[in-house]
Amino acid sequence: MVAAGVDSGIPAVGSLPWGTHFCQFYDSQRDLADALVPYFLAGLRGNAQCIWVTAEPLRAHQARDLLRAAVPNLGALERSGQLEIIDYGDWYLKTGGLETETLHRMWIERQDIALQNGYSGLRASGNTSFLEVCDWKSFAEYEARLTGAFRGHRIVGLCAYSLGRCNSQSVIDVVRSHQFALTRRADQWELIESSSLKIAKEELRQLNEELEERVRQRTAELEKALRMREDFISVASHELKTPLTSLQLYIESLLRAGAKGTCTAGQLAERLTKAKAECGRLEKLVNYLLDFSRALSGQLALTPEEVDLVDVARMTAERFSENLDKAGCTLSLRADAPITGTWDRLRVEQVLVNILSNAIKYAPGAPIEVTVTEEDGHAVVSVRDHGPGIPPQDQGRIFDRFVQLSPPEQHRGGFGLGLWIVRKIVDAFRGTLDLESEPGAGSTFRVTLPRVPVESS
Amino acid sequence: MFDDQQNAMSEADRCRAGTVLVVDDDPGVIEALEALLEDEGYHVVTACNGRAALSYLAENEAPCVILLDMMMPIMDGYGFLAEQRQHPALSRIPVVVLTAGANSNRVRALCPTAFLSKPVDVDALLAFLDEHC
Repeated sequence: MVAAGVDSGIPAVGSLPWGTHFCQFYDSQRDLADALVPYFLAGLRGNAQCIWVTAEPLRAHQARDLLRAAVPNLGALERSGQLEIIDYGDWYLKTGGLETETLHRMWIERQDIALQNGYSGLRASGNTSFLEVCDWKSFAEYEARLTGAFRGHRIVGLCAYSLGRCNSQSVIDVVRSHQFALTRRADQWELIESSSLKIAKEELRQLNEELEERVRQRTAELEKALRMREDFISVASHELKTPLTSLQLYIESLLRAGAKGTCTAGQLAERLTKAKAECGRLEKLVNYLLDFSRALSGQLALTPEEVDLVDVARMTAERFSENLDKAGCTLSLRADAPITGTWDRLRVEQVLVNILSNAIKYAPGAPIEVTVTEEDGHAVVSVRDHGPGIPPQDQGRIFDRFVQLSPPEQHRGGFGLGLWIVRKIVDAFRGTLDLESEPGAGSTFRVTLPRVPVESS
Repeated sequence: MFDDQQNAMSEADRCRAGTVLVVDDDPGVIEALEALLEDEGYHVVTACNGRAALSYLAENEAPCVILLDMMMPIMDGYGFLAEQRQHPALSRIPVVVLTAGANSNRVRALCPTAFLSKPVDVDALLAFLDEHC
């Protein structure tokens, strides 16, 4: 019925998980024998220690005879302690008058001893026909709490209740205090599950579904992150190996020319200059990776100073002119008056350089317009290109790390971190970063920076 | 002596000490390869992506060898190799794939004549050119 565990021996019940506490309503001795004999035979087969507390109408000697028919060496099992068959009267002498708490502890202790003696667990059955002489209320409480006590232990318990002696109220109590009840109607065994068990099972099923769904989601997220990391490593290694290759080729060419004695002083100087430039390129890439790592851990260092944003834009444009020329781009800067604020000059430059690099990478041969204005007390710098534009579905993710809109094979250089770092820097300034773009109509990146000093975080 | 031999052979066989087409999107790598190969007596022509290389091949005499980068914008090395296969005249030109990428299995599956990772084993590259040019 529930998940696989130990064999109950009772076909209608099937296998049970350890910790199960269930009950049986019986009408006759035959009901008891048909359930309890296979129940204990399965327990013995499963190497459990078995305790069968018997009562009318199936007494200990009758139980012993029934079991012996299937297990000829019953005496040996009893002597070894694996099997204990005891009439309720004798059991009561041992346990009568004990507190509920003590009785619960007794079952757990019996289980511990069973496990210490090499048994697989404890299988027990008790009969409640004595209840007419006993306090029903406190017994019902003992039973109700037994389900909790068994949980997590290698114990299976079956409590036999005489249907004839139970009133309707006590039947309800009994069903509620066990995980399920077994009864025979018209010669067919039936299982009755308590409504709380049904609810618990349903809740468990839902919880399980939710958990599985969450696991599926997390796995998909992890797989995506892993793929992105792999792409990033591939791109990063490509980016680092490219200047390394130039550097290595210049050195090899100089070594060979030197060996042949064909190298002129002019050639030597030219190639060393180019090799030095490749070293500079490598250094920039490594710094970029370091920035990435700092930004990732939220440790982007800011050194705020009084800065004119128009001046920064002009200087950046000048320094960037060679890259612009190479890409066939022209840059026009529009600014009416100085716009000062307290920012980290180098980081503001980095924002502009990264946005401009993006523009020349994706919109070569087209003009770029940079505008610096003041709006509502904030400094606003916008960079407009006339490139292919960014499709709406990609606009949300271009500021994510490792995102490059061209497929990896058509890699346009860079780590896919430029705009991510822009976003991190703008965030550190408590500014905002907006994108307006339409496919075929170019893109405008707008950075809005508050002019008041920000705490370096 | 090496140079003399190449010059002597170039009269008889136009591929000796002949033209090498370098297809790479990185100007730094192109310039460095030019310096190295020109020192060795090769004539270097360049293209900055697969599409540009196909245009060059359509309009010019075939080079002796193509040195091909894989990760390039517009048309990458995979696209170039696929196109090259379609044209019998072009498919005879030996291709050395020079890549800084990690996916060497995917490149090898395309069966280029040779495969070298960046940074380049220059001895192997020059030995290949010596054999095919």
